[in-house]
Amino acid sequence: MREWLEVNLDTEKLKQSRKIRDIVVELLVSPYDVPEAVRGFFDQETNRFAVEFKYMGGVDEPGKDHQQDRYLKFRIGENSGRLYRLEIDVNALKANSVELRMLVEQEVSEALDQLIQRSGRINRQDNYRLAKEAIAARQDQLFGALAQVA
Amino acid sequence: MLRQEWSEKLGKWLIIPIWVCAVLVSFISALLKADPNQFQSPLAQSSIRYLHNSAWWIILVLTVAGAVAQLIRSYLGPSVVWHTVQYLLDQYREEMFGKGGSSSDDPQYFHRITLFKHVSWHWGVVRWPWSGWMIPVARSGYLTRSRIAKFRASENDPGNAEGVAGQAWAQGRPVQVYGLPDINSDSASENALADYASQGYVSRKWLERRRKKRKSHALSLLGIPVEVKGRPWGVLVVDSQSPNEIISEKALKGQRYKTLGRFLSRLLEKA
Repeated sequence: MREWLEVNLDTEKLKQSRKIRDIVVELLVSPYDVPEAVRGFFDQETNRFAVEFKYMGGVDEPGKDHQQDRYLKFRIGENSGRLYRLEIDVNALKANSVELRMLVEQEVSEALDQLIQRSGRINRQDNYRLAKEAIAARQDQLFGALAQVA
Repeated sequence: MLRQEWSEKLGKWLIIPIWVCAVLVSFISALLKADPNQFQSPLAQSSIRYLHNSAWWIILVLTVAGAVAQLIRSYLGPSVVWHTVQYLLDQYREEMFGKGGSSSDDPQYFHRITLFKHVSWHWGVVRWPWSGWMIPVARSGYLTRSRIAKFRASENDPGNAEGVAGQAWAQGRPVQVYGLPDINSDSASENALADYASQGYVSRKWLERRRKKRKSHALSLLGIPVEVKGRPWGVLVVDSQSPNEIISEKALKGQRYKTLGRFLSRLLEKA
Protein backbone atom coordinates (compact mmCIF):
# COMPACT_ATOMS: atom_id res chain seq x y z
CA MET A 1 0.00 0.00 0.00
CA ARG A 2 1.87 3.02 -1.29
CA GLU A 3 -0.95 5.55 -1.10
CA TRP A 4 -0.60 8.31 1.43
CA LEU A 5 -3.09 8.19 4.29
CA GLU A 6 -3.99 11.68 5.44
CA VAL A 7 -3.94 12.41 9.16
CA ASN A 8 -5.42 15.34 11.03
CA LEU A 9 -3.50 15.59 14.29
CA ASP A 10 -4.40 17.70 17.26
CA THR A 11 -1.47 19.98 18.06
CA GLU A 12 -3.22 22.01 20.76
CA LYS A 13 -1.85 19.88 23.58
CA LEU A 14 1.70 20.53 22.41
CA LYS A 15 1.27 24.31 22.81
CA GLN A 16 3.75 25.70 25.28
CA SER A 17 3.81 28.74 27.47
CA ARG A 18 7.37 29.94 27.77
CA LYS A 19 8.90 32.91 29.51
CA ILE A 20 10.96 34.92 27.05
CA ARG A 21 12.57 38.07 28.43
CA ASP A 22 10.20 38.05 31.41
CA ILE A 23 7.13 37.84 29.22
CA VAL A 24 5.08 34.65 29.10
CA VAL A 25 4.34 33.86 25.50
CA GLU A 26 2.41 31.06 23.87
CA LEU A 27 4.45 28.99 21.44
CA LEU A 28 2.64 26.77 18.97
CA VAL A 29 3.92 23.68 17.20
CA SER A 30 5.71 24.47 13.96
CA PRO A 31 3.39 23.50 11.08
CA TYR A 32 6.45 22.03 9.35
CA ASP A 33 6.71 19.45 12.17
CA VAL A 34 3.17 18.12 11.80
CA PRO A 35 2.84 15.04 9.55
CA GLU A 36 0.12 15.56 6.96
CA ALA A 37 0.06 11.97 5.78
CA VAL A 38 1.63 8.61 6.48
CA ARG A 39 2.04 5.37 4.54
CA GLY A 40 3.31 1.88 5.21
CA PHE A 41 4.54 -0.71 2.73
CA PHE A 42 6.94 -3.57 2.23
CA ASP A 43 9.93 -2.20 0.33
CA GLN A 44 11.11 -4.88 -2.09
CA GLU A 45 14.46 -3.10 -2.64
CA THR A 46 15.52 -3.10 0.99
CA ASN A 47 13.48 -6.14 1.94
CA ARG A 48 12.12 -4.17 4.88
CA PHE A 49 8.77 -2.86 6.03
CA ALA A 50 8.78 0.95 5.78
CA VAL A 51 6.64 3.71 7.26
CA GLU A 52 6.98 7.17 5.68
CA PHE A 53 5.77 10.60 6.75
CA LYS A 54 4.78 13.50 4.55
CA TYR A 55 5.09 17.11 5.69
CA MET A 56 4.02 20.51 4.48
CA GLY A 57 7.55 21.41 3.42
CA GLY A 58 7.76 18.41 1.08
CA VAL A 59 10.65 15.96 0.91
CA ASP A 60 13.32 18.21 -0.60
CA GLU A 61 15.47 17.97 2.48
CA PRO A 62 18.35 15.49 2.35
CA GLY A 63 18.04 12.72 4.93
CA LYS A 64 20.48 10.71 7.03
CA ASP A 65 19.92 7.11 8.08
CA HIS A 66 20.33 6.17 11.75
CA GLN A 67 20.39 2.55 12.85
CA GLN A 68 18.30 2.40 16.02
CA ASP A 69 18.90 -1.28 16.81
CA ARG A 70 19.39 -4.45 14.80
CA TYR A 71 15.83 -4.32 13.51
CA LEU A 72 15.00 -0.68 13.02
CA LYS A 73 16.40 2.26 11.06
CA PHE A 74 15.25 5.90 10.98
CA ARG A 75 15.69 8.44 8.20
CA ILE A 76 16.04 11.85 9.79
CA GLY A 77 16.17 15.20 7.96
CA GLU A 78 19.76 16.44 7.83
CA ASN A 79 18.84 20.07 8.50
CA SER A 80 15.66 19.85 10.53
CA GLY A 81 16.09 16.55 12.40
CA ARG A 82 12.52 15.68 11.35
CA LEU A 83 11.50 12.01 11.05
CA TYR A 84 10.84 11.12 7.41
CA ARG A 85 10.95 7.34 7.34
CA LEU A 86 11.44 4.31 9.50
CA GLU A 87 12.34 0.86 8.27
CA ILE A 88 12.01 -2.40 10.09
CA ASP A 89 13.68 -5.69 9.19
CA VAL A 90 10.69 -7.99 9.54
CA ASN A 91 12.66 -11.08 8.54
CA ALA A 92 15.13 -10.54 11.37
CA LEU A 93 12.24 -10.48 13.86
CA LYS A 94 11.68 -14.14 13.01
CA ALA A 95 8.06 -14.02 14.02
CA ASN A 96 5.16 -16.06 12.73
CA SER A 97 2.24 -14.42 10.96
CA VAL A 98 0.22 -14.07 14.16
CA GLU A 99 2.98 -12.40 16.16
CA LEU A 100 4.49 -10.26 13.41
CA ARG A 101 2.11 -7.31 13.43
CA MET A 102 2.15 -7.11 17.22
CA LEU A 103 5.95 -7.27 17.32
CA VAL A 104 6.37 -4.61 14.64
CA GLU A 105 3.93 -2.25 16.35
CA GLN A 106 5.71 -2.74 19.66
CA GLU A 107 9.17 -2.24 18.14
CA VAL A 108 8.10 0.95 16.34
CA SER A 109 6.40 2.37 19.43
CA GLU A 110 9.39 1.68 21.69
CA ALA A 111 11.87 3.04 19.15
CA LEU A 112 9.89 6.28 18.82
CA ASP A 113 9.73 6.62 22.61
CA GLN A 114 13.50 6.28 22.76
CA LEU A 115 13.88 8.83 19.98
CA ILE A 116 11.71 11.29 21.94
CA GLN A 117 13.71 10.74 25.12
CA ARG A 118 17.07 11.04 23.37
CA SER A 119 16.20 14.27 21.59
CA GLY A 120 17.30 17.36 23.48
CA ARG A 121 15.40 19.79 21.29
CA ILE A 122 11.76 20.40 22.19
CA ASN A 123 10.76 21.04 18.60
CA ARG A 124 12.12 17.64 17.56
CA GLN A 125 10.36 15.90 20.45
CA ASP A 126 7.10 17.40 19.19
CA ASN A 127 7.76 16.03 15.73
CA TYR A 128 8.49 12.52 17.02
CA ARG A 129 5.40 12.60 19.26
CA LEU A 130 3.27 13.65 16.30
CA ALA A 131 4.82 10.95 14.12
CA LYS A 132 3.86 8.40 16.78
CA GLU A 133 0.33 9.79 16.85
CA ALA A 134 0.12 9.66 13.07
CA ILE A 135 1.00 5.95 13.18
CA ALA A 136 -1.54 5.32 15.94
CA ALA A 137 -4.24 7.14 13.96
CA ARG A 138 -3.73 4.91 10.93
CA GLN A 139 -2.28 1.75 12.43
CA ASP A 140 -4.82 -0.66 10.97
CA GLN A 141 -4.20 0.50 7.40
CA LEU A 142 -0.45 0.89 7.92
CA PHE A 143 0.31 -2.44 9.50
CA GLY A 144 -2.34 -4.25 7.47
CA ALA A 145 0.31 -4.51 4.75
CA LEU A 146 2.28 -6.84 7.06
CA ALA A 147 -0.24 -9.60 6.46
CA GLN A 148 1.12 -9.96 2.92
CA VAL A 149 4.71 -10.19 4.23
CA ALA A 150 3.85 -12.86 6.76
CA MET B 1 11.65 49.22 -0.63
CA LEU B 2 10.77 45.53 -0.44
CA ARG B 3 12.96 42.96 -2.18
CA GLN B 4 9.87 42.11 -4.21
CA GLU B 5 9.73 45.69 -5.59
CA TRP B 6 13.48 45.91 -6.21
CA SER B 7 13.28 42.69 -8.17
CA GLU B 8 10.39 43.97 -10.29
CA LYS B 9 11.81 47.45 -10.89
CA LEU B 10 15.55 46.81 -11.13
CA GLY B 11 15.85 43.10 -11.94
CA LYS B 12 14.53 43.34 -15.50
CA TRP B 13 16.88 46.27 -16.37
CA LEU B 14 19.98 44.53 -15.03
CA ILE B 15 19.88 42.11 -17.95
CA ILE B 16 20.97 45.02 -20.22
CA PRO B 17 24.42 45.68 -18.63
CA ILE B 18 25.00 41.92 -18.43
CA TRP B 19 24.46 41.54 -22.20
CA VAL B 20 26.34 44.74 -23.07
CA CYS B 21 29.38 43.63 -21.05
CA ALA B 22 29.31 40.14 -22.60
CA VAL B 23 29.08 41.49 -26.16
CA LEU B 24 31.83 44.09 -25.59
CA VAL B 25 34.20 41.52 -24.07
CA SER B 26 33.67 39.22 -27.09
CA PHE B 27 34.14 42.13 -29.53
CA ILE B 28 37.34 43.41 -27.87
CA SER B 29 38.76 39.88 -27.61
CA ALA B 30 38.15 39.41 -31.36
CA LEU B 31 39.82 42.73 -32.18
CA LEU B 32 42.96 41.70 -30.31
CA LYS B 33 43.75 39.40 -33.25
CA ALA B 34 43.39 42.23 -35.76
CA ASP B 35 46.51 43.88 -37.28
CA PRO B 36 46.16 47.71 -37.14
CA ASN B 37 48.20 48.06 -40.36
CA GLN B 38 45.53 46.20 -42.31
CA PHE B 39 43.18 49.17 -41.85
CA GLN B 40 43.51 52.27 -44.02
CA SER B 41 41.68 54.69 -41.74
CA PRO B 42 44.07 56.33 -39.23
CA LEU B 43 41.19 56.45 -36.69
CA ALA B 44 40.65 52.68 -36.94
CA GLN B 45 44.41 52.08 -36.67
CA SER B 46 44.77 54.22 -33.54
CA SER B 47 41.61 52.71 -31.98
CA ILE B 48 42.87 49.16 -32.48
CA ARG B 49 46.32 50.09 -31.12
CA TYR B 50 44.63 51.66 -28.11
CA LEU B 51 42.60 48.48 -27.56
CA HIS B 52 45.73 46.33 -27.89
CA ASN B 53 47.36 48.36 -25.12
CA SER B 54 44.33 48.74 -22.87
CA ALA B 55 42.38 45.52 -23.50
CA TRP B 56 43.66 43.87 -20.31
CA TRP B 57 41.96 46.35 -17.99
CA ILE B 58 38.90 47.03 -20.19
CA ILE B 59 38.10 43.30 -20.32
CA LEU B 60 38.70 43.05 -16.59
CA VAL B 61 36.38 45.99 -15.81
CA LEU B 62 33.63 44.74 -18.13
CA THR B 63 33.83 41.21 -16.70
CA VAL B 64 33.61 42.51 -13.13
CA ALA B 65 30.73 44.88 -14.05
CA GLY B 66 28.81 42.04 -15.73
CA ALA B 67 29.42 39.74 -12.77
CA VAL B 68 28.26 42.40 -10.27
CA ALA B 69 25.08 43.01 -12.28
CA GLN B 70 24.44 39.25 -12.35
CA LEU B 71 25.12 38.99 -8.61
CA ILE B 72 22.63 41.76 -7.84
CA ARG B 73 20.08 40.09 -10.11
CA SER B 74 20.54 36.74 -8.33
CA TYR B 75 20.36 38.48 -4.94
CA LEU B 76 17.04 40.12 -5.83
CA GLY B 77 15.61 36.86 -7.17
CA PRO B 78 13.43 36.37 -10.26
CA SER B 79 10.49 38.79 -10.36
CA VAL B 80 8.13 35.96 -11.34
CA VAL B 81 8.89 34.32 -7.98
CA TRP B 82 8.03 37.52 -6.12
CA HIS B 83 4.82 37.96 -8.14
CA THR B 84 3.75 34.48 -7.07
CA VAL B 85 4.76 35.11 -3.44
CA GLN B 86 2.68 38.31 -3.47
CA TYR B 87 -0.30 36.43 -4.91
CA LEU B 88 -0.02 33.74 -2.22
CA LEU B 89 0.22 36.32 0.57
CA ASP B 90 -2.84 38.15 -0.77
CA GLN B 91 -4.82 34.90 -0.97
CA TYR B 92 -3.80 33.93 2.55
CA ARG B 93 -4.76 37.36 3.88
CA GLU B 94 -8.09 37.07 2.11
CA GLU B 95 -8.81 33.75 3.80
CA MET B 96 -7.87 35.06 7.25
CA PHE B 97 -9.52 38.46 7.20
CA GLY B 98 -11.57 38.87 4.07
CA LYS B 99 -14.26 36.24 4.34
CA GLY B 100 -17.46 37.34 5.96
CA GLY B 101 -16.02 37.91 9.45
CA SER B 102 -16.10 41.21 11.33
CA SER B 103 -12.79 42.24 9.72
CA SER B 104 -13.94 41.83 6.12
CA ASP B 105 -15.01 45.50 5.88
CA ASP B 106 -11.79 46.85 7.39
CA PRO B 107 -9.25 48.57 5.14
CA GLN B 108 -6.60 46.19 3.81
CA TYR B 109 -3.78 47.77 5.79
CA PHE B 110 -5.56 47.00 9.10
CA HIS B 111 -4.61 43.35 8.69
CA ARG B 112 -1.41 42.50 6.86
CA ILE B 113 0.93 39.62 6.20
CA THR B 114 4.62 40.34 5.82
CA LEU B 115 7.33 37.92 4.81
CA PHE B 116 10.67 38.49 6.56
CA LYS B 117 13.93 36.88 5.51
CA HIS B 118 16.75 36.22 7.93
CA VAL B 119 20.04 37.62 6.65
CA SER B 120 23.40 37.60 8.36
CA TRP B 121 24.34 41.05 7.02
CA HIS B 122 21.95 43.98 6.69
CA TRP B 123 22.85 46.53 4.01
CA GLY B 124 21.71 49.73 5.65
CA VAL B 125 22.58 52.42 8.13
CA VAL B 126 22.09 50.41 11.30
CA ARG B 127 24.06 49.49 14.35
CA TRP B 128 25.61 46.02 14.12
CA PRO B 129 24.78 45.35 10.44
CA TRP B 130 26.65 42.03 10.71
CA SER B 131 24.68 40.65 13.66
CA GLY B 132 21.80 38.95 11.80
CA TRP B 133 18.54 40.63 10.83
CA MET B 134 14.98 39.91 9.83
CA ILE B 135 14.34 42.06 6.78
CA PRO B 136 10.94 42.44 5.06
CA VAL B 137 10.92 41.03 1.52
CA ALA B 138 7.22 40.90 0.61
CA ARG B 139 3.91 42.15 2.01
CA SER B 140 0.25 41.52 1.22
CA GLY B 141 -1.83 44.28 -0.34
CA TYR B 142 -0.57 47.42 -2.05
CA LEU B 143 -0.38 49.86 0.87
CA THR B 144 2.18 50.48 3.66
CA ARG B 145 4.93 48.80 1.66
CA SER B 146 7.78 51.16 2.38
CA ARG B 147 9.83 51.77 5.52
CA ILE B 148 8.75 48.48 7.07
CA ALA B 149 10.48 47.71 10.34
CA LYS B 150 13.55 45.43 10.40
CA PHE B 151 14.43 43.42 13.48
CA ARG B 152 17.74 42.29 14.88
CA ALA B 153 17.96 38.50 15.19
CA SER B 154 21.42 37.27 16.00
CA GLU B 155 22.32 33.60 15.66
CA ASN B 156 24.66 34.03 18.63
CA ASP B 157 22.13 35.78 20.83
CA PRO B 158 18.73 34.31 19.89
CA GLY B 159 17.16 35.09 23.27
CA ASN B 160 17.42 38.79 22.53
CA ALA B 161 15.98 38.57 19.02
CA GLU B 162 13.76 41.60 18.45
CA GLY B 163 10.09 41.68 17.52
CA VAL B 164 7.73 38.78 17.02
CA ALA B 165 9.56 38.13 13.72
CA GLY B 166 12.88 37.71 15.55
CA GLN B 167 11.38 35.58 18.33
CA ALA B 168 9.53 33.24 15.94
CA TRP B 169 12.76 32.77 14.01
CA ALA B 170 14.75 32.14 17.20
CA GLN B 171 12.19 29.73 18.70
CA GLY B 172 11.56 27.86 15.44
CA ARG B 173 7.86 27.82 16.41
CA PRO B 174 4.92 30.11 15.79
CA VAL B 175 4.77 32.90 18.38
CA GLN B 176 1.47 34.63 19.09
CA VAL B 177 1.07 37.93 20.89
CA TYR B 178 -2.52 39.08 21.33
CA GLY B 179 -4.20 41.93 23.16
CA LEU B 180 -1.37 44.46 22.93
CA PRO B 181 -2.23 47.87 24.40
CA ASP B 182 -3.46 50.44 21.90
CA ILE B 183 -0.68 53.02 21.57
CA ASN B 184 -1.84 54.55 18.31
CA SER B 185 -3.27 57.67 19.95
CA ASP B 186 -1.09 60.57 21.14
CA SER B 187 -2.44 60.13 24.63
CA ALA B 188 -1.05 56.60 25.11
CA SER B 189 0.19 56.28 28.69
CA GLU B 190 3.75 55.50 29.71
CA ASN B 191 2.61 52.16 31.11
CA ALA B 192 0.95 51.23 27.84
CA LEU B 193 4.14 52.06 25.93
CA ALA B 194 6.26 50.02 28.33
CA ASP B 195 3.86 47.06 28.09
CA TYR B 196 3.79 47.25 24.31
CA ALA B 197 7.57 47.32 24.09
CA SER B 198 8.06 44.34 26.39
CA GLN B 199 5.24 42.22 24.95
CA GLY B 200 6.30 43.00 21.39
CA TYR B 201 10.03 42.34 22.10
CA VAL B 202 11.10 45.80 20.97
CA SER B 203 12.88 48.60 22.78
CA ARG B 204 11.21 51.80 24.02
CA LYS B 205 13.58 53.79 21.81
CA TRP B 206 12.47 51.87 18.73
CA LEU B 207 8.83 52.41 19.65
CA GLU B 208 9.34 56.14 20.21
CA ARG B 209 11.02 56.52 16.82
CA ARG B 210 8.09 54.84 15.08
CA ARG B 211 5.53 56.88 16.97
CA LYS B 212 7.29 60.07 15.88
CA LYS B 213 6.93 58.90 12.28
CA ARG B 214 3.20 58.32 12.92
CA LYS B 215 3.45 54.62 12.14
CA SER B 216 0.49 52.51 13.21
CA HIS B 217 1.01 49.72 15.73
CA ALA B 218 -0.66 46.33 15.58
CA LEU B 219 -2.74 45.08 18.49
CA SER B 220 -2.12 41.43 17.73
CA LEU B 221 0.71 39.60 16.01
CA LEU B 222 1.47 36.07 14.93
CA GLY B 223 4.93 35.04 13.73
CA ILE B 224 5.15 31.80 11.74
CA PRO B 225 8.58 30.38 10.85
CA VAL B 226 9.27 29.64 7.18
CA GLU B 227 11.63 26.84 6.19
CA VAL B 228 13.38 25.98 2.96
CA LYS B 229 14.74 22.44 2.64
CA GLY B 230 14.35 21.97 6.39
CA ARG B 231 16.41 25.08 7.24
CA PRO B 232 14.97 28.18 8.87
CA TRP B 233 14.64 30.79 6.09
CA GLY B 234 12.52 33.54 7.63
CA VAL B 235 9.18 34.30 9.21
CA LEU B 236 5.67 35.25 8.10
CA VAL B 237 4.25 37.90 10.38
CA VAL B 238 0.49 38.38 10.51
CA ASP B 239 -0.39 41.70 12.13
CA SER B 240 -3.76 43.18 12.89
CA GLN B 241 -5.14 46.46 14.22
CA SER B 242 -7.78 44.40 15.99
CA PRO B 243 -6.89 42.71 19.32
CA ASN B 244 -8.52 39.38 18.52
CA GLU B 245 -8.88 38.92 14.78
CA ILE B 246 -5.92 36.58 14.38
CA ILE B 247 -7.00 33.06 15.23
CA SER B 248 -3.97 30.80 15.24
CA GLU B 249 -6.02 27.67 14.54
CA LYS B 250 -7.46 29.27 11.43
CA ALA B 251 -4.12 30.77 10.49
CA LEU B 252 -2.17 27.50 10.65
CA LYS B 253 -4.70 24.83 9.81
CA GLY B 254 -6.57 26.38 6.91
CA GLN B 255 -6.13 24.91 3.44
CA ARG B 256 -4.75 28.23 2.13
CA TYR B 257 -1.98 28.17 4.73
CA LYS B 258 -1.00 24.65 3.71
CA THR B 259 -0.91 25.73 0.08
CA LEU B 260 1.04 28.85 0.98
CA GLY B 261 3.55 26.93 3.10
CA ARG B 262 4.04 24.26 0.46
CA PHE B 263 4.58 26.73 -2.39
CA LEU B 264 6.61 29.23 -0.37
CA SER B 265 9.17 26.60 0.56
CA ARG B 266 9.61 25.75 -3.11
CA LEU B 267 9.55 29.32 -4.42
CA LEU B 268 11.95 30.72 -1.88
CA GLU B 269 14.64 28.26 -2.94
CA LYS B 270 15.05 30.62 -5.90
CA ALA B 271 14.74 33.89 -3.99
